[in-house]
Amino acid sequence: MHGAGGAKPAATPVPGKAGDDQAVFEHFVAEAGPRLGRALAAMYGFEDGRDATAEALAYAWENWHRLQHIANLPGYLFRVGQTRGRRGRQPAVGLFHIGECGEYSFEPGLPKALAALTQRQRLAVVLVHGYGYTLREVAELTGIGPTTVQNHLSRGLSRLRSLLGVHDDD
Amino acid sequence: MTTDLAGQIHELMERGMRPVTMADVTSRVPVRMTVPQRAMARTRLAGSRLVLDPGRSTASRPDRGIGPGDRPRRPRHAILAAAAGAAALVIIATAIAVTSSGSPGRPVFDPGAVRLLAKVAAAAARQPVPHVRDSQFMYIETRAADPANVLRELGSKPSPYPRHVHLKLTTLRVWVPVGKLCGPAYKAGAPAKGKSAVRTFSGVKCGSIGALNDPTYRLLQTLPTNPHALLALIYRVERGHGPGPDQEAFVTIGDLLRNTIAPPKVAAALYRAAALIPGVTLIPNAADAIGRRGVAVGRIGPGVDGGIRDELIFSRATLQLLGERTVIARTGETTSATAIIARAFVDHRGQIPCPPRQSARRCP
Repeated sequence: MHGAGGAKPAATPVPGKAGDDQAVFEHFVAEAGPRLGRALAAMYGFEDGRDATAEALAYAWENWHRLQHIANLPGYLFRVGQTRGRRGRQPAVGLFHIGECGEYSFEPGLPKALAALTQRQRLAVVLVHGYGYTLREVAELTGIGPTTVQNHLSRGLSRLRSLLGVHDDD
Repeated sequence: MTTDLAGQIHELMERGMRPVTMADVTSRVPVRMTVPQRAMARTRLAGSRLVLDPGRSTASRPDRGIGPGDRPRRPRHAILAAAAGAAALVIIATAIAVTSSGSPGRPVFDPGAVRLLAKVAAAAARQPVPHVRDSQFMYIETRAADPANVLRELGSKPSPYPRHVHLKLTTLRVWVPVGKLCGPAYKAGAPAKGKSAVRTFSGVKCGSIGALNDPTYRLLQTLPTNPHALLALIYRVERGHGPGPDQEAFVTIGDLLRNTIAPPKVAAALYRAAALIPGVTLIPNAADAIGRRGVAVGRIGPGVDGGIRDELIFSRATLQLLGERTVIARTGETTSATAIIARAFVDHRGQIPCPPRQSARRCP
């Protein structure tokens, strides 16, 4: 399972030089981009989630001078991404389509079952259960309370298991 | 059934997600210029003309890096004067739009064209995202009415137009790889009057996903979905080509929309980018190569008899692109036209997809 890393503030930039700004921003993208991408993909699916992530990071780059000092910038950009992600909603059934090529070991019905959860349930299930984030990390990124994340996680997992016909082996 | 659900979710997400790169990020950063700012830039650059030469514009300068907080800069003491000037220019531009819309000498932003393209873009964005494999092909069937009695290659320009044009209808069938171009890129057939001619174009290196003028679906997927960024990219790539940068950008957008199956968001961005090109006007009535009537947007390029107007024709009912035509601006004579007959993804080159409502048995 992959550790998530906390929602840390961006590294302190060296002011004044565009090149330095770019280096700091690239570092930020490398550090926070995957976390943001996973969260938005969980909510809006692979395509719209990726678009929302790219749009949020583009917004950050465009306003880097103003935003770089925000303590919880990934959390801020998550909300920017949510605004962007709401624009292009594709049908829920296609959210986690992965094509027919290659072999995979997950349940064939998993993409459809995951798409059947609510956005917040999916977010909690994917980040906490799929990627091993702590409740606090998810809460910090998404601005939802840890208890609420826990509730979404329990309900989401329960519904997912019911949809897939699996029982808890933990 | 007992399974490691966490591992399965992780695997699904890792397989489906594509990482966002810096190129994705920077390509979406818009170069922000309002219409008045663009008009002012044009006035500065081109004297009394309200036409921006995009080759010189901030938006399309290739060596201009887009940086954080990068905005058109103006001396502080001139802000009020600039605001007043911008307001005046908006009034002048509106007046010109009202009084001389369609005039080839004074391209402006036509509100009707902008509204139509916004609606068309919204309709395009609502289309479902196709899920395709690299091994598949984009199949595009068009019917072209051309003055030339020869098979026209994709993207090629017709010869200079005579005063009276006799058009000949030709069917073009094209298969473009979804993934990588390799060997024969596409075929075109011309079953006209009993004769069937087939050409195969080749010369594309293996492993390429194509270029803006010769794109695969994978290349189209990489295009920016921000219309400003997309238009800046088109200006940059097409710089120095065609009769003029604005006209070339408009024609390139038409080619991309007609000759490919663009992903919905890219198609929407292309329509929105077309609305940003100065001089694009609304044409209330237009017909494609097979006589289907619709509403169009057009732009007049240089040429004899007041120039040649390129038009993109849309269905009034579905807002889908029906085809294109070129018209002599002064006389209104059609010099060439195209009708889009079918577009679909197929599994192999040469396969013709079943038309809607036709059974698989009857399909060739």
